[in-house]
Parts: sequence; C-alpha cells; structure tokens
Amino acid sequence: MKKTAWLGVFAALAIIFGYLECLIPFHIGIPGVKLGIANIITVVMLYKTGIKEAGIITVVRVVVVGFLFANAFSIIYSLAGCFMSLVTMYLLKKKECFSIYGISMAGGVAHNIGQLAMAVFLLETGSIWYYLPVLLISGVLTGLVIGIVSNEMLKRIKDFKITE
Amino acid sequence: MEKKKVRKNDFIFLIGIMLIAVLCFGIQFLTSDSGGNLIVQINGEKIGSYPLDEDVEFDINGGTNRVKITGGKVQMVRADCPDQICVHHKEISKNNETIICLPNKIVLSIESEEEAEVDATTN
Repeated sequence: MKKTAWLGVFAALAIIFGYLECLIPFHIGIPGVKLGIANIITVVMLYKTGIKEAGIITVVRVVVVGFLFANAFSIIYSLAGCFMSLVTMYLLKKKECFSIYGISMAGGVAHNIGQLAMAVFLLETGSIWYYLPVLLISGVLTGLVIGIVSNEMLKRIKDFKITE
Repeated sequence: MEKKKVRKNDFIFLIGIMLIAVLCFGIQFLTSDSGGNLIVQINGEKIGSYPLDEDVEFDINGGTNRVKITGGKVQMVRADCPDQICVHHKEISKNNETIICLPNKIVLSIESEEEAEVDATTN
C-alpha cells in the first residue's frame, strides 16, 4: 500500500480512538488520568514507519480531536505530553535496551510528566506536583496496556508493506 | 522478533517507577496533616485565603467558579468550563492538596498556617 494511503488510514483510526476516549466517562478524581488509547497508533507508527510519521499523525490527531470533542486547553496539554512521550520512546527505541512494553511504559510516564510540566508552567504554581505519584503509576500502567495492544496490532499488520 | 520479548529492563523500569511513586506518596503522607487555610490562586496570583473550619460558599473569578467549604473539606461546586474536571475532583482537606481549573487558571490549595511557626521552633 502506498504511504499516503497508510497515513490517511492511521490518522482516521487515531481520531476515532481519540473520540472513543472522550465517550468513556472516566473520572477518578485526579485530572490527567486516562487510558490514552489513541496512543496505540503513535506506538504502532513509531515501530512501523518511524518517528517522523508517528509525530505527524499524533499532532494531526491531537489537534482534530481537541477541536472536535474537547477544547483548546486540552490541545496544549496533549501536545506537551505527546511531544515528551514521542521523544522519549524514540530515544529508548534507538538505545535498544527495552522491549515494546518498556518503551510504551516509558512513553506513558513521559506523557504524564510532560502534561504536568506544562500545567506547572501555565498555572505558575508548583503545588500540582502533588499529583506526580498518581500520574507516574497511571502512566506506567496505561503505558503497559498500550504496549500490549500495540504489540498485538503490529503482529497482525506485519505483512502490510509500505511503499513510497 | 526481538522487540516482542519482555526484557528484564522492562520489569526494572516498572518496579522503579512504582517505587518512586510509593516514595512520593510516603513523603506526602508524612508531611501532610489536616489543613489550615484554603488558598485561592488565579493566574498564579494569590487572591484570597479562607479558614477551613467555617462553612461557606462563594463565587470566585467574577462568577466563573463556585467554591464550597463544608466540614473542613473544600469542593468546587460549579465551573463554566466544558470539561468540568475540577467539579468532578474529589474533596480536598489536607495540606498541599489542590483542585485545579485549567481553563480558568484557578488553583485551590490548602496550606498550613502553622508551618512557618513549626519550622521556626524546630530550628
């Protein structure tokens, strides 16, 4: 399949995942804790194509989902988280010391730290570092789930060839 | 393929993060006691301090948000933002706990009034 077609399919899938996420009411009393199923696409793209394509699809997804189903603020936080997450996963993948599970877990943690750092920056208060432990645990656990699902997805699309 | 196998490093990372989180919880638990005052910050600027032992309900930020203090617990009861995260947030009552309304840039936090005095005496 051509790369353009691939990117279109994955962008659509990522946006649908983002929409699904908005449909699930998931309030545990701590802001920032969510499953992040749209990040499955980011991880899959990182393995299947590379950081450039993964980054493009992620930015498109965050902006589209943000404008359609959330608000401008959620876009800023999501972008900060996704940027941290993607860079972390890319560097760890290059170093080859983790499997996809470890990389996805590190991505989840980095995502939450990125969002928290953005919140500290925007709100000009340090008091929200109080959330750090909860966000660390949620990041590592959701990262693990995302890693497992991404691995299953990668297995099933192994034979798909991408051409320029 | 090699990437599919679970590596030892994955476990070390998982356990490591968990330990750090538990440690943070521990520090927060040890350093928090039932709170003194509710501090309201808007845009990083402190606009007011309210004692927790008085039951009150008031509007802040020109009416975009409504805060309620009952029985030493603080709650955001109303916000005009679409996500309503701060309204769903659990009640806060201990030192350093916070409720944040990101769209309106409001931070409710609880701070102990005795902290400064305790520090002075323990030194």
